[in-house]
Amino acid sequence: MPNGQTGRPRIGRELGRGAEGVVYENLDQPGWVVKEFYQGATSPLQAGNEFANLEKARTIRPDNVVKAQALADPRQGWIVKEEVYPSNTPSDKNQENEVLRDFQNIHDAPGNLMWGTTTDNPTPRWLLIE
Amino acid sequence: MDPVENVRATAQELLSFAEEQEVDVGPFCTDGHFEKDQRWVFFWRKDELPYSGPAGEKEGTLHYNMQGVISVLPNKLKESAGAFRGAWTEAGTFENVEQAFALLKAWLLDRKEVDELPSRSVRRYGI
Repeated sequence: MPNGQTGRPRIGRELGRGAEGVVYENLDQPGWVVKEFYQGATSPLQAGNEFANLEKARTIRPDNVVKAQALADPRQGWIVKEEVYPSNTPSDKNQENEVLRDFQNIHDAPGNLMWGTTTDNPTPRWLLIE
Repeated sequence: MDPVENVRATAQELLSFAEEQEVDVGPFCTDGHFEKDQRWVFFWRKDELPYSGPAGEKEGTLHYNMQGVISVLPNKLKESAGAFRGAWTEAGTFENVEQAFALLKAWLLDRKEVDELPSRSVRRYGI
């Protein structure tokens, strides 16, 4: 059950981290993760900024961007996104090139790509994760 | 620069450096993307376009993105063993081509585990 005060899902084990925050298992929503932003080190609007960036990318290539859940509070310090399962199949070079070109106006896109699947779509593909 | 051309040109830098070291990574490079036995890595350099890196970063900064199968859970996520599925994803930067080549060789050819990989600046990682 989500935290009654913040609405944030319960978090489990750490799955990874980056410059802006830590990614955890989402114990309430299988197939989704919770990214918690570092407090003080990033803008209080970082979750909203990341949501906006992902939505912008999704307008370009919806199948190649993780879905994110809309924020209840624009200043919340976390965001819920689809979990990406790394694929061991050979990556698709043509699709990689298409994605790189189509996302050339998305900040830091090459560094935020994974080759994998999501619960909703088991087809291996390049996915922008943030 | 066109992002695909950026990746291709940076791969060519790596291929040339590898050749100087008498290490043949050419067979594992397709269209700028290095891949071998369920592990891959590609490189690019920061330029004037938004895709290539954070705003304010020095142009020419050498970036990488890598992913693939691993056998040993890295120390930094040792508390997350229950979530480990035998895969790793990571992106970051290097100080120079020598560092990039060292990672390319260790990751693809020598098949090192994550904790055995050479020096690099990691920006994000995950299992």
